[in-house]
Amino acid sequence: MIKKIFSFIACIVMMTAVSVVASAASEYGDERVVDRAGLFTDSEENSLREITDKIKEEFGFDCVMVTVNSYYNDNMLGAYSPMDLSDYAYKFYNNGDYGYNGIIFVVSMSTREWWFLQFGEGKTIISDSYGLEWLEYKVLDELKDGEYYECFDKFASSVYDFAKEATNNKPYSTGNPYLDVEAYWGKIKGKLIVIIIICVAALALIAWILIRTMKTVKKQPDANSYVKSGSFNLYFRNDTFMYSNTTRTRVNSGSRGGRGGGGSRGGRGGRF
Amino acid sequence: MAENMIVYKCPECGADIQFSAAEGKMKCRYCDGEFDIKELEDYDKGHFKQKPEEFNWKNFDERKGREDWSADELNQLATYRCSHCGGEIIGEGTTMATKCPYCDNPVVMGESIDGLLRPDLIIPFKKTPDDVQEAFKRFMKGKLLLPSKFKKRNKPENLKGLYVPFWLFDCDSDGQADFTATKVTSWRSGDYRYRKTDYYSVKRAGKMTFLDIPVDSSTKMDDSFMESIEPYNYRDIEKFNSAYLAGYMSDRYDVDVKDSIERANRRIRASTSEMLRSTVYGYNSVSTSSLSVQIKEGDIQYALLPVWMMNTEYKGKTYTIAMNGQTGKMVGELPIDYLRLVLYLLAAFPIIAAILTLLFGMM
Repeated sequence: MIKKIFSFIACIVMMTAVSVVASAASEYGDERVVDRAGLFTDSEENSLREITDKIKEEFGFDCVMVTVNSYYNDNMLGAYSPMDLSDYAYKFYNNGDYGYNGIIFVVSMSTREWWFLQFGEGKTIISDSYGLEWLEYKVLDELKDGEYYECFDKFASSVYDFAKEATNNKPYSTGNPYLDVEAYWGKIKGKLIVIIIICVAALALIAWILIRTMKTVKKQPDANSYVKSGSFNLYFRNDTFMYSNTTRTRVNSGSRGGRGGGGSRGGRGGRF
Repeated sequence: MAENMIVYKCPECGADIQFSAAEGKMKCRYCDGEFDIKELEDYDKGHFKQKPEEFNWKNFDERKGREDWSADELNQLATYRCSHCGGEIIGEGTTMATKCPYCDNPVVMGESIDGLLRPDLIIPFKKTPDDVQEAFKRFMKGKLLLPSKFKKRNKPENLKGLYVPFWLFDCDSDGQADFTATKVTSWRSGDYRYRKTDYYSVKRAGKMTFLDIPVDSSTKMDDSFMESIEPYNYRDIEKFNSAYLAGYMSDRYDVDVKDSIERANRRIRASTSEMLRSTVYGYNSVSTSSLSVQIKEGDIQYALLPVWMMNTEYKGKTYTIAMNGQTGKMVGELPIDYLRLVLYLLAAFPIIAAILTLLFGMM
């Protein structure tokens, strides 16, 4: 009898423990828009959710967007201190009920950091070198300007475009560029001065060439046309090594975290 | 006992050189060059020193064997002077009226040609006025900035066939040059990039022969124009005969030889430097430290070379075009339509900007 009672109590305890663990793990569940920092209105959140649901439905791809005030003391992951925002993003996605293939975009308001991180096929659909750079150009200005809904909306729309293109087995890349005027502007506006300078230099070169065709009169600098054929006789040659000079320069082996960096878990992010 | 045998090469022609007991020197049996043993040893060991620069031309005025004008030539030819620009030309004495080839003003008969230097050589005209017309049409093709009104002209105005006086310089030059050359290698090891630069002292010495370098001897002819229509093909050069002047005019030389020598020297020096520099290869960079050139007993001749000259007027400005009367090479300055240039640039700007924007966006 006592054994039965003890067994019953043990079962209850076990079930409670499991349910607590289960409830802790499933508090996000597969929720793809998690606005813990309170940046969106209800309608904005619903609008974002519609896009992420559509991406999941059409492509089986989880597009997860998370805003937090501070990821250091986030009790959503239990007693865990993330190394950096990329680590937080990684743990957040893995603790949720998301699929193998996906991408997560996390913004931490107190530290003013942001991070993209891909999972599974996400690394192919949105590559580190090409896709993440495009997403950054697409969303960073709005993030810096405090237009959070516009920022995440553009993120989700871009992920939709990338996921759709990947269904052709040819994801966006340097060989298959993603042509988006707004994102292009984000990419080139920092290089506008360089573009203008090269433009002006090219025009000056064109003008110089055209004017030169009009002026065919020029002095001959030498008398090469009047050297008697076969008359050149090199009667002395001597090449002597004198000395050597060696310099060395330290080369950066790559940045850790920060803008465009890999973070502790990969992906791409920085401050805004 | 084994003996060492050293073979010296002739610095003049590169052949093996032997000791001449009679002369007590090393003598080359191919080119008759003679050298002290010490000089050859220095060449061999690389203790090479540049000789002092020297441009030694035969004194032209004292050249013997110059031909004077024949009696017939003195009768047939006369000088003409332009009162407007002062130009002096030689032409047939029977010419009643003619115009100055430079400013198109009437010329008047001047002195006899007696006392003037008689040319040694002449290249006769090969190109006719029709050839000039055709060449002028080809010359205007592809000139995007040429004003439309100017293009519509199909006939060059004031076309004149003129023999231009030149001094022709022949010489053997000897040049010695010192260069500094570098070889660069770079590699990466660990967190460092290394760059090693090896410095070399490079010495070269060589000889070459120049034939008939032309320097125009008329102040009226722009040197740049005359050099631009080079080269002439000297296979067609003939001993001077006044019969070649029939139907043409000849400019009279007014630049002495000694005033032309400097131009010839500069061109010879530049060519010698280029030839020596072309023998230095296998380096990442080569710079010339010093150069010395010597010319000894260079020869000079007086020649008349054919040139077609034409002038065209456009918007109050005269544009001169010259054509090599033998080869047909045409040069000249043409008017520029700057409005057209601006339009081309305005049209090019958006295309270049679009291409650059696309490239930068794709990077």
